[in-house]
Amino acid sequence: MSTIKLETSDGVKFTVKTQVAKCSGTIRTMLEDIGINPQDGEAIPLSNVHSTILQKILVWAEHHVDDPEPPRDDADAAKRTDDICSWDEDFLKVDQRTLFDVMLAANYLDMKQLIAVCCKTVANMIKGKTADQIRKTFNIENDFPPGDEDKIRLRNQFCEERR
Amino acid sequence: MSPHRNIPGASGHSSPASFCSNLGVRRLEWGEHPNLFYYKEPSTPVFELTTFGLRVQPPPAIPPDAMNHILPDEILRQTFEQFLTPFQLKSVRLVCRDWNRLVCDSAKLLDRYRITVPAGGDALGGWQHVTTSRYTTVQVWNLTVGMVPSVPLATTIRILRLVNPWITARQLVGMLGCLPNLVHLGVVAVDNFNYELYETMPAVHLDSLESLNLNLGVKDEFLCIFQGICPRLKGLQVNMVIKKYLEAPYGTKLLEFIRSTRNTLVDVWFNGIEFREESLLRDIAAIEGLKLKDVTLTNSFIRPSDIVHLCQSQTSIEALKLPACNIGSEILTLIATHLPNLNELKVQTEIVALQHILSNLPRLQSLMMRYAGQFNEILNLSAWQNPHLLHLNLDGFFLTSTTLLTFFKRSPNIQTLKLYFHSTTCAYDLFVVAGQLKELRRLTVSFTGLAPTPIHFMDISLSPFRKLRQLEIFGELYCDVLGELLENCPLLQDLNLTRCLITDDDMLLLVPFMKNLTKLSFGYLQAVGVSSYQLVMQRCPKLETFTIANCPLFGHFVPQQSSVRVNYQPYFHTSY
Repeated sequence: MSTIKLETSDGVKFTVKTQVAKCSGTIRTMLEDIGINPQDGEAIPLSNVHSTILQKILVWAEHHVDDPEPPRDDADAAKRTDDICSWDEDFLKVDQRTLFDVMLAANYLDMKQLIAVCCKTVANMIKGKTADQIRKTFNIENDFPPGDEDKIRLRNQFCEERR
Repeated sequence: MSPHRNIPGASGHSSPASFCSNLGVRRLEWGEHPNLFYYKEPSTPVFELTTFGLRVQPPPAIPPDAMNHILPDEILRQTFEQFLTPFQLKSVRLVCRDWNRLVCDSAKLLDRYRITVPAGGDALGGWQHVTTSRYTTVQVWNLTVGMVPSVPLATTIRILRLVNPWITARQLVGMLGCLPNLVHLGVVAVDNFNYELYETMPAVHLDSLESLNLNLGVKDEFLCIFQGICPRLKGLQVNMVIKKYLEAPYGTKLLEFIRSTRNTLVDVWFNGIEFREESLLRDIAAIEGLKLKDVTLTNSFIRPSDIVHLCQSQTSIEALKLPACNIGSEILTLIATHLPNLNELKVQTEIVALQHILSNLPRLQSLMMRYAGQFNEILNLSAWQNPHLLHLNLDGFFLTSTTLLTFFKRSPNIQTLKLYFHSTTCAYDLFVVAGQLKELRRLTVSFTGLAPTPIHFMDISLSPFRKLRQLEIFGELYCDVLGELLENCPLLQDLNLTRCLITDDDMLLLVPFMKNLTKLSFGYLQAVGVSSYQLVMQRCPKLETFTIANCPLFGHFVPQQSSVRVNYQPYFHTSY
């Protein structure tokens, strides 16, 4: 079983099955295109990922390592968000900061499936809420200059979904 | 096994291990666990020198921070673009400046909206907004001269609808010439405005324009401003009254227009044009080089000989829609003979002996028929077999559940079923029978009369409608049947209940099956009031649109502030 080493931003080294590590597009490119030789024992530096997050991501990758490639659909319509599998749902039952850190790391590591499932989770947190409730949920400051909100509200009235 | 489980075995007080436990993770040894896929290597931790000696650096404190400062635009954009509907994005725009900018800068998102500039829209800044943003679908009411020359329209516009433009034809054409991406144009002309159609028009070509929808009223001469400037026109929808002139044959301008676009035109829709006494339809059908695919004529009378002529000359027709015109069996047979590619048919008929004729249309995918006959004859389609049939709409026929059952077994791929029927069939039977259609996505059932009808399939429970997304019921259905039906529709998103005999108490039983709804409509529900509204608002978390129309118990109802769009029409006594 071939393994490679990964080194996180805080200097922790992980030894990982190559197949699992290749869930990350970034690592796959390093191994296949740039030709970093994993046998050298040299760890691949992942300078943007903290070890706590990488550990979590590796758990996800191990679970999904045998998943088939998702069908590519370029439909412009909004996709479903109620189809997150229960394993992923449990996996992402974490505090917001961890969820965002997982998203950031998945983005850096180029793991499309993981990003998608995180985005769905965030979308579900947005759905069915008013702007005020969304701000509270995500601790976002209302930074509109006075009057701008009313303008957007007015425009929203004349914006309809295309049929 | 939970993925979060810590694997036992790591212990000790050496500095690397305590480093790991400081981080909340345990050091693991390779081979300790047979299913282990990674382990943490003992590593040199980061030390820092303090007055108390060496100390392992603690993990970085996680600052509580706003989400939009943590996540980069690309991730937020992906969330908005892929997983939120335009309706939800309206709230997103109001969250903060960053989010508003993300939505407004996304061509993909603006593409999903249609923005309307209302009458007097300029006062609201709407027009300026349209001209400076990148919307692709724009609708403008009462465009005036003052609005046109000041700013050119955004060149991203692909679909433009102008309702009552108060500008001359010359200004209109000049403006359209600046829209290189315009694919669809709709114009509703003002009857009593002088468009100065005889001015010389600017020399522009609407090169990308594919479809033109003109609602002209009595301004039939308006059509000529588009003649010769639409080289790629595929679709023409015209709603107008053609005026009669002494010197020219009826409809010459329309005929000339179609002749000029004969090489590209495939789709025509005419409303209000009179073909009864004239040769216009025959002349259009006979244009050499014209190969129509999709023809809609809304006239209530078209001479049978004209229809025959149309079918004989335009054998390429794939969709023929004559929704208001009575078609007899002879003409129907001729349609089936002359149009081998027909996949969509919409007609009105007085006959029910249709099985033989329909069997001659093997490619038919979509059938809409309205019964206009005088006699209560039963429509029997049990001998018709069509695995290609996807959409079926039967209006006003007398149906029986047993013949429908045989028919559905032989045409099992129907996805859209709309039945408006008389009370010869019991609604419950119909739901049992429709359960045969495993591909069904949309079901509309409308029935009148409370006449007791025999239930054939009383002992059979309903089968699940696994793919059903939209359900519309117009009729006196009781809670027990409705409940059993909803229980069998796990993916239902859009529900319309009109004239159903349900009460507020019944809603308590029904609402558990409504948790996936995004759209709900109540119409003419006599015994449902505000408490049902509150129940729905609490128990349907995905709801986006809630329409309440003509429900007397709602009285002077004012919807509460929420993210759900509530359309409320108060009760007016009607003949129902």
